[in-house]
Amino acid sequence: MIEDCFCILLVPVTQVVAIAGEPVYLPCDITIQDEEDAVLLVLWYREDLGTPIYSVDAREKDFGVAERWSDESVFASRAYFLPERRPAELGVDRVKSSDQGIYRCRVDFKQAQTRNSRVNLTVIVPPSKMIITDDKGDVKQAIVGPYVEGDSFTLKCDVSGGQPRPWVKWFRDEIETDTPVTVLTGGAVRGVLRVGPLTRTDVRAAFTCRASNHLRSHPIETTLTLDMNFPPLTVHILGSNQPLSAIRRYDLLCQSAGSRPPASITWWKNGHRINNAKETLSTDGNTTTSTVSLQLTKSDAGAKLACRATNPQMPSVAPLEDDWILDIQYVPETVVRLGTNLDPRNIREGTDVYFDCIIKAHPYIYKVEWRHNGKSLSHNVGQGIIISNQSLVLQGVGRNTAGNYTCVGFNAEGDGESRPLSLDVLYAPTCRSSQQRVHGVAKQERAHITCHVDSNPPEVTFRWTFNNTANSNEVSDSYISRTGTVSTVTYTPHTEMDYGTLLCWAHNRIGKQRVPCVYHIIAAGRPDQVHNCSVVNASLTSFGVRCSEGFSGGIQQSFFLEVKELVTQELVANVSSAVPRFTAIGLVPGRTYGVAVISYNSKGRGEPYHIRANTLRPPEKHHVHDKSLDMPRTAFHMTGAMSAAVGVGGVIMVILVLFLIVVRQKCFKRKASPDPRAPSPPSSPDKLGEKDDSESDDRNPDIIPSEMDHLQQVDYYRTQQVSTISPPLGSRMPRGSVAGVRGSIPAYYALRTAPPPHQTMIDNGTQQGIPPPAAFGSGSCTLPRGSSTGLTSIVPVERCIPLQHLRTLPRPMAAPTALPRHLPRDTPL
Amino acid sequence: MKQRGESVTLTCDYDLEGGKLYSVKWYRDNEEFYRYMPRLRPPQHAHRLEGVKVDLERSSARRVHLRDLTFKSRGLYRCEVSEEAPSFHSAQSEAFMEVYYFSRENPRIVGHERIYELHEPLDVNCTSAKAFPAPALEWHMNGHMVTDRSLMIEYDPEPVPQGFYISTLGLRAQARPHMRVRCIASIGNHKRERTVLIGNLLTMEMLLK
Repeated sequence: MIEDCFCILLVPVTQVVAIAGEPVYLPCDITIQDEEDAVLLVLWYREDLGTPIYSVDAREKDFGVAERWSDESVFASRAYFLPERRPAELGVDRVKSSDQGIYRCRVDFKQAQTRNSRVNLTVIVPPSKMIITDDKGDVKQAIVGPYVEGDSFTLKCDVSGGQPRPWVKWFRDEIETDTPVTVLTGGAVRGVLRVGPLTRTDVRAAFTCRASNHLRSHPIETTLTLDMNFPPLTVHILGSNQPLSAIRRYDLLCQSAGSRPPASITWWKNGHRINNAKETLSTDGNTTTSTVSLQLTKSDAGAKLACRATNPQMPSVAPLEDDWILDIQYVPETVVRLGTNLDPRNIREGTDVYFDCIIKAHPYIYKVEWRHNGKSLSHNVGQGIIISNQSLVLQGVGRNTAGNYTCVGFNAEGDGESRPLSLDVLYAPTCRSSQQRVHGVAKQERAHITCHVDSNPPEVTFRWTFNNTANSNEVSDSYISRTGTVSTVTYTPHTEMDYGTLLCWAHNRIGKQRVPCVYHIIAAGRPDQVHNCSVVNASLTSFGVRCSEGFSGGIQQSFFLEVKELVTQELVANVSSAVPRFTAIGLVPGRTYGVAVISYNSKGRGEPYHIRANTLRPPEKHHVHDKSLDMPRTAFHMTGAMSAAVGVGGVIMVILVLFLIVVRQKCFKRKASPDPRAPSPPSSPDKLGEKDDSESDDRNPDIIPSEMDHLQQVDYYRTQQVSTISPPLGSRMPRGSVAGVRGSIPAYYALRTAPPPHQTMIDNGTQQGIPPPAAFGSGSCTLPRGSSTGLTSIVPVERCIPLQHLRTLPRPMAAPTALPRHLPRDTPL
Repeated sequence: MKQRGESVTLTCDYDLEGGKLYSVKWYRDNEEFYRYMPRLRPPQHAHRLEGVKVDLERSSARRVHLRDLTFKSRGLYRCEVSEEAPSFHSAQSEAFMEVYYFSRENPRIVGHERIYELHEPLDVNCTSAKAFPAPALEWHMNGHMVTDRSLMIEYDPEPVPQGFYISTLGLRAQARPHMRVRCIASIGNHKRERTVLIGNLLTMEMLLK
């Protein structure tokens, strides 16, 4: 009974919490106990108001369609009754803080007792505003700082609004911190966070201030990220303290880590800023890499290369620096110096000369090389070349020793060659080789005899003398002119006695020419026959002819080619040339022509050299007519025809070559035995040809057919004793010299290569009317003279007469064989 | 305040101010026991409720007549008047009805017969006769109500058969000369009392001398 006193409290009260702005559902039990019963009316009251705020009137309709009414001043259209829920609910959208209160739901049943239930609605209004300020009172929104290591600071988080009063908490990296909270006069709640002292690990810490007033309401929060500035921790020049090469360009790298914001890197060389550096940043932003491209020079050795890293935001912090004392390696630098007691302008042949090679190198050289005119020199005491350490000694220098000297130092960086030092070796004049030593001059003809000497210094004066069998005369200066090291004497023989030997002497400040240059003045004659002619480059309408020229007769000779129709002897081509090389053009294909090559000079013509030459046949003519137009077949036949022609020609050629070989071998055999004096024969006829005029004097008239320059002196004395100027008629010549000439002839034959055919020799010889000396029969088969036969014809005997000897020696020659040929030659004289 | 077995008429006065009546509902402790709804036939309806015996004939839209009140009849009685649709404007009023039984018998005092020395704490208790609800007890000494609770011992009411209670209150005040002690039991305005004299040793010795 006493419990009854508390029955009022039995009216069920449901606690409902709603978040402002969200919908809320207020429960109301409308279930009926008896199936015959029914709900008539549902009324919702707010305890402080007498009038219902919402009703569902089902007295005259089914509940589902029953009239709903909502107080416009309370829930208005925000409310809707949900009878199907268990318990039924009154939904209210967008709850406002003014909706908070106690609501009563009264359900009138048809039969059952009226049911009252209450709902205590609490409306949570989340806090509305959060402001975070730092120590300076500045409002912070996303980032706090930057601070530096060791700093401490506080953050205040002021939260306003909210019903009920919210709690405020600080979290560091989502871990709650003990947050002192105070309520400000305006009703705002302040939570304070103290941070510090800071270390590097604190950077990017997330400080979150969170405020809420109910579990179900989303807290409002602000997160601040801690920004910090750090000075760089490390700086390194990568790969430092290695030697660098001066010739290369290097990309040097310097890395700095630990700076925030990223370090700025600068490069310095001996305190001077290097500007062309480029910076890159690692993806994590922690490491800055600076690349500088440097080409260092030798002068940078020992320089201090520094890489400095600074935090641009911390200018007061001293930069971090890495140093590198540069070690520069370079290609040796070399200089050649002439020995100090030597006067470079006055080094004469025979002097001992020495050079020093001054070397700067790092790393030091492992080898020194000396070069003369670019060619490496090696130590050779026998040749007077002494190389020791960095010195070169040349003993007894000669003119060939002159030239450019360089020394080369070798080290790992490369080869350093010095600038050339020019060694000038002075010497007295000497006669230059390869001069025309024999001059054929007609009587009353004005000849210009040049004397060319080698001399250093080239300032020379000349003296000429004339020798004949009788006497020796000084040539008057009025006949002498000089250009540099060349002296020319104008000489006109008037009598037989004017033929002889001109001697040229030069001297310079070093001394007198020890051996004079010798020039033979002989009576000029017709040129000799050309020899060794051959047909080359034959085509349908042209062919070429090449010959070796014979003796010029002592003066300038020229050549011409005559091409005649073989049958009609009609002249079809006439070609002139300074050398015996011709091309005849405009000829008829498939013809054989008679060809004559003729030398001539102002004294007359040489003997013609006859050969036959063919133009090529046009092979296609035969087949185009009698064969079909079938091209492959035509082509086949054409090639067949051509190969046939070639085959025939080839056979002829082979026969010819075999024949020539046989002849040659016979010639050689014959020559070898009768010439025991002959020096080793030249390896080729060309060599002999080169000697030509210049050599002739040396061989003639002496027995020894020497061609060696160093024997010049001996030769000279010989020629002095024996007159070398021969009168046109051999009868005047001493017999001894004739014998010498005759004896020497076989020696030269030995140098010839092509033996003549024997069989035809006699016949042709008689035809030519030139009596060949039997001894010459096996001579130069390639030097025909006066032969009129072509290539395919029988080689005439004359070919075996060595033209060279007829040319070089004939002046004193009294041999009967030479006579008939000299006569016509001399006649122009 | 009604005595057990009595009848009572509860009235609910209202002014609809021209509005139309939808319902009058009577609740005891929020439980409906009578309604008057003019649109229903019959407009009166009583729900069964222990201790509430509605006399429909003597009840109307503005009053309800209850007969044979029991102790269970006591409670918070509320009438709620609602207007017809659409507003269903409602007003309500409530009052607590106490139902009591108070025996004619006065409370009894024990412990006053012995002799107390001067200033000796008394050991006197007052016990009510059975009643409902438990009557309140108070002490008066020489005409002054004892308010100092430290001088008294309060005992919980003791339930006795038939739903009654007896209340007991002890008095421990110091014995003084010429003490006239009165115990008053009350339920509402209904009171029962008993007065005794307490002699003490000193007083007795003085009297003997």
